[in-house]
Amino acid sequence: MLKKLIKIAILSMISGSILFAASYNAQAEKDRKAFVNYFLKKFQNPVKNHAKYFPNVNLDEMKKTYRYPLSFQDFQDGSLAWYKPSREQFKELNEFPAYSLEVDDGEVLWNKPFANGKTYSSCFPETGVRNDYPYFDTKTNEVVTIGQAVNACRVKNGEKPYKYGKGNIAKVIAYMAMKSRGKKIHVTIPSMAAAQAYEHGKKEFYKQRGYLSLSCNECHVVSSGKRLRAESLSPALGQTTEMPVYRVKGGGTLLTLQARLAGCVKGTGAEKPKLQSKTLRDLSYFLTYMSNGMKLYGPDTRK
Amino acid sequence: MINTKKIVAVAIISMLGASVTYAQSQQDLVKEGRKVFVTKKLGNCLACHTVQNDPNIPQAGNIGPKLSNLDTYPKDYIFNKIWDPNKTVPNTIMPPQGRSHKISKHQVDALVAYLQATTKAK
Ligand code: HEC
Ligand code: HEC
Repeated sequence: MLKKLIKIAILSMISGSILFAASYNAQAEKDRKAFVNYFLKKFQNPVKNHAKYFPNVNLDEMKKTYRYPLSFQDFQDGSLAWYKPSREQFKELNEFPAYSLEVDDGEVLWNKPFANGKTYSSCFPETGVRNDYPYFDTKTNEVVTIGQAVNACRVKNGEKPYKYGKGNIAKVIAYMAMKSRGKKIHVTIPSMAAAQAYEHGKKEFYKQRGYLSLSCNECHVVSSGKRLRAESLSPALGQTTEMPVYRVKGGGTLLTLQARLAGCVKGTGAEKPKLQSKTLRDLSYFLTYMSNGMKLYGPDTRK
Repeated sequence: MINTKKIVAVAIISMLGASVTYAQSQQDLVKEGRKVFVTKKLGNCLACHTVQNDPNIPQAGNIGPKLSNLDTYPKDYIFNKIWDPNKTVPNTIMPPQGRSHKISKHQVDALVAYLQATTKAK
């Protein structure tokens, strides 16, 4: 009798924990499906849905300049997905993409031995792993970005870490991204702590910040498909697929996702957050999760 | 008699003068308002709005409504809308640039003057 009870107790504990394990990403999956649906609906036929999603946009302008319907994968192109004038301009630019030189530099750095004779491949058996980042490290209970992984490899091999945001770090990531093209994003939420990091990132996404009191959501969800000044706003869905991004503006700079996020936070009039701060890492975790299943196409060129 | 005439004349002239300077300063205010509207470091309102009778605003965005017929609204309605739009529309994307002291009371007054002058119902 006692044996039977114990057995039942153990069985129910096991099934309980299985249920629990399976549900760490339950909320995130619910969020993601709603997120994807919003964008697919919005960009199915913007002209027809003018009143619902684009009440202030000139209808003639929409008829002339909008590209639709957009498929799930189309969102990898950011603002170029829906805004024809930019799309055409950038198609031309990308016949000889400026980022290809940076990718070449990245390849050289990747293969150049450290002082101890080893290379990056001692830490990354495969180069094309951009789609695994950011991931949640269940040992440290922290979100790890690809930039951190690159620098951890350097430090482990006795080298100085790179400065985050642009320069060599962006070049190395660009080379990794190139090798990851076509692979699908698969961010996982393996634990309760990971679910908490996801929720934190989500909160940061919807929080109004700065003296302009603006949120990521307001610009990249509600106002996606509209223009802020002459800038066509990219949908948040797919935003992380083309990183690092080569920005033509200001002479041309290859930027990591971290740098791009920090730039947008600063644009709201808030203090520029530190690269690799918990806020930015968790934000990138949330944002990348939203695009799970989308194929990567990085690096790419943007205005 | 002559004296009264003279006094009346002086009074009229000075009234005219006052209204001329009044008109002048109103014009300046409208001009200043336009500058606040289009300057990135000031109001940057063109990031989201076009203006009914001022089609030459460069590179205006289309997130907010085209501002029109604002002369039909009371001044304080428009002032408050610009000062703190969250008061009337809690989750609006429009930034509270007065409340957050990015622009001054005087600059908001100038915006009101500019908008009422350029968005008259036809
Ligand atoms: C005031 C509006 C505004 C806000 C608020 C804003 N952004 Fe942006 N963001 C832009 C503009 C403009 C661009 C450049 C055009 C584009 O690609 O959308 C941009 C670009 C980006 C890009 C690069 C997209 C690409 O295809 O290269 C990412 C990623 C991004 N924003 C994320 C965020 C996140 C996360 C937040 C919140 C912390 C945020 N943005 C807040 C306006 C904004
Ligand atoms: C980031 C986008 C954005 C910016 C910047 C912005 N607005 Fe707006 N504005 C909106 C939106 C959206 C609405 C409509 C919703 C609302 O009333 O809040 C609006 C509404 C208004 C209205 C009310 C119009 C009506 O008919 O009721 C006025 C007036 C106005 N804005 C003026 C300004 C001025 C002046 C500035 C600059 C100091 C400015 N806006 C900056 C987005 C913006």
